[in-house]
Amino acid sequence: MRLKRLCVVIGCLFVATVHTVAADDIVLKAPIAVLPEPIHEFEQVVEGTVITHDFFLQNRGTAPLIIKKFDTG
Amino acid sequence: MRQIPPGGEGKIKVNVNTAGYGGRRIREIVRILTNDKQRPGLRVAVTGFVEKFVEINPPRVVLRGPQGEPVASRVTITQRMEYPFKILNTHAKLGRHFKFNVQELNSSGTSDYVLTVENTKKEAGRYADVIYLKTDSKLRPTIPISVIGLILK
Repeated sequence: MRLKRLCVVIGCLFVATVHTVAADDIVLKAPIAVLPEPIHEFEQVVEGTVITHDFFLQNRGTAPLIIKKFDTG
Repeated sequence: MRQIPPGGEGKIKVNVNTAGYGGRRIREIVRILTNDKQRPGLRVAVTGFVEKFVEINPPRVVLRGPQGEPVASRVTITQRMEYPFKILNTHAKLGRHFKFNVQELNSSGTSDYVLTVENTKKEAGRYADVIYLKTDSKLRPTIPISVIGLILK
């Protein structure tokens, strides 16, 4: 009975340890998306002008930043 | 799907065509969905004031009237001194239910235009079409004018 209880305790510790490592791993390896200048204000233009602007998206995290989709509107 | 490595930087090129937005302030937004769990949805915006290239009055043609009677509309196209242009030719997208013509008016050194549109649909009903004015302007090679027909019983 006593041996059985010990096994259960060891089992719990093992699970807890594995869980902690996994959580640290997720925190350490996460992407962080940063847009230094998210708004571009253009000078007055006449209708028909095509405005082109480059925004820069930085990844300050430790895992690849995946761009899944763009939506306009 | 594109990805940016840790410590890296990606470029997002945004093009905004301002045709048809004259006389107002615009704000075009692009939403970026990423795998960053803290900020999965980011937004970038292009904003500013767009000046009118031409005055079109009224801005769209509405041909509304009873069937069997003449229904017509006149649109004045007034150039701005800063942006002169010539209308080279015109055509309608469908052109099934109306006829139209453009006349040039010379006034004070600039050419203004009058667009006259006349309904030809005999039966009651609705339609929508577009008249395209082809110009010699690089800024606005085409000026579209919407036509709405509402012919009543």
